[in-house]
Amino acid sequence: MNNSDSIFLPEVAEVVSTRQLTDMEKYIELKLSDSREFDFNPGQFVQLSIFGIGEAPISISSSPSNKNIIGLCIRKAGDVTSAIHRLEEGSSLGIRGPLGNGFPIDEMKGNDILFIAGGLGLAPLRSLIYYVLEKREDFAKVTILYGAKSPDDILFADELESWKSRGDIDLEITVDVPGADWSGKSGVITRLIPPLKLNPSNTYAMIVGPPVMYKYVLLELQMKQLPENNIIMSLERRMKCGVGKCGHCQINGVYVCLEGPEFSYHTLKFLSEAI
Amino acid sequence: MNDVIIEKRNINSLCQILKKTFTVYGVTEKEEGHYVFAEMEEFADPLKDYKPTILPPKKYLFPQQETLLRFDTKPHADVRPVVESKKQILFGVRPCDIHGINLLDKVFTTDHEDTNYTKKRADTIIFGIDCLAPCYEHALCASVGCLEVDDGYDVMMTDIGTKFYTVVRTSRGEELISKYADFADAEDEDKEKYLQLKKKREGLFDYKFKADLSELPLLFKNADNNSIWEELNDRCLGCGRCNIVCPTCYCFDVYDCMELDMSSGERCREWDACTLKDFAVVSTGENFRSTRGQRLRHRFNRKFNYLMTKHNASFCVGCGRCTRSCPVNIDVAETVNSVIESSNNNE
Repeated sequence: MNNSDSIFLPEVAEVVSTRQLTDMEKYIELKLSDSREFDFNPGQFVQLSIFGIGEAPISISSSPSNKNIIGLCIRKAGDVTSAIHRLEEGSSLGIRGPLGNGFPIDEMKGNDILFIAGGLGLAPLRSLIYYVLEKREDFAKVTILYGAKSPDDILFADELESWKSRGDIDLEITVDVPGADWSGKSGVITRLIPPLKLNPSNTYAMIVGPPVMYKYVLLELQMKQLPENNIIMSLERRMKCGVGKCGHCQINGVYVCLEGPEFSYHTLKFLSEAI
Repeated sequence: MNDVIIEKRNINSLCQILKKTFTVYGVTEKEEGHYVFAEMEEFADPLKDYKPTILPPKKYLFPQQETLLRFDTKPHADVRPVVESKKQILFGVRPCDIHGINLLDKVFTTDHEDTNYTKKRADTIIFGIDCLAPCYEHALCASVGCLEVDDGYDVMMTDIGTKFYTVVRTSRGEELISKYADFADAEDEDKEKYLQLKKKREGLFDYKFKADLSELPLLFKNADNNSIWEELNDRCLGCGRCNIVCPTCYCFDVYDCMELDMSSGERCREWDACTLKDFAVVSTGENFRSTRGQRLRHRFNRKFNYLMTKHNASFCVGCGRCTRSCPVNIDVAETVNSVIESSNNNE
């Protein structure tokens, strides 16, 4: 039997490497056990299985150009993700996907791109950031805003540093609670938006963060007069099946797993339960 | 195959023969006034006028609990799909429940085919029993267009006295009837009786909504902020009964069960209910439908708006089970009419 015989059947994947990013977040890289390539779009997600414990939906963090590696940034939040944190190099686990649609890459080409990542929101955006940086000439101005709770909570600090040093993008980091050693910006991420000089009709804003962040970021972007279609958000929902059956991820009539998890503000604004 | 006549007294022998090849499920009175679908031994009076069963026959196509996968974790992870099915006959299914199954056919084949459902469905033969009068006060089949059914069954039987006027819809049905049933071709007078009874029933089933069914999706779409949901928030207990008894509710939870050896186990699914509090809670603790009113609004919208719009058919089939089983008497027709009336008032 193969995957087409059961929508619930995971493939077996092997942990290639693990890296502790913060107390709560770990980055793991997987490859499929038969070493087949894994083709995905930035913004798509997978269902990871720890057999005996369960499944959890996790967005893909790695570059789509490397089809041999599936990189995932996992916050220890429940039983499954805690079990994933205990995995070591060489461990195996189940994977289903890629699921969902991902970011509207073709629409975005030729435009300025503004990334707004709050906390773990950097995880799905990292995949898209790599895509954009690897095809840098396909996009105009690129700006990354990243907000973390504290300096210790910053994810992928070395990569943020290397992106910044490229010289062809703008990158700003802020923390809610700066420690004594922090010399960078502090305060909520929305404060980074007003000083930006945006060309609204040619800018796509990609926003991923905790639910509470969206409303405030939307307000700021509306002040900048960004068209609703150009504001793209990725939504977190409870998911069991990932294929439009189990009902848990549904927002009004929309199955997030099938139609998202990325949506334009223009779409979400008509869904009362979205944010 | 032309329409045929099967004498009522021959039903039991037909079922006894079918039992040799199929598991046959029919309706039985579990306690006075409480009917259930169960595996049949004797068909003494299997098709008597029964009120909708406690659970719809959906349970034989989408069981309360079902194994999806079996896995081993040692010496290395290995996982296999489990798609269980057996040849089965559902005997005496009402039009409303046939509609319910037809709608499940849609949801489990649209977007991604769910083989755990479709395999069972392919192995299932349905003998319907037509309704000639409302079965109880909660029935609203005629309001949601589910009294007439022209698809989804193999054989449809109509009680015309001492015999069943039998319409054979599929080649599978034809094979069974011609092979195993003691039948006669329907005479003109049988057909006349059948048509008379069908005509007579037209006046017996009320249309209970105060607007046309086709208007409901838009009315519900515009009723997000309707005060009815606040009122229902105060009444609804969030118990999930309406979901569990519904022929078209198909949401489920998925969980793993380890064997005692702690190295092998199963992944299973189990019916879930969107009216339960933690249905939409994410790992960070946010609940996107945190109140009972919001959850009930979601459930009603699934029946009369979201799924109705997507699949172009009402996802309430009018069986009235939710109304009957609600501990606080939330009535589906009343609720729909409240939405309609408040919309009229706002115009």
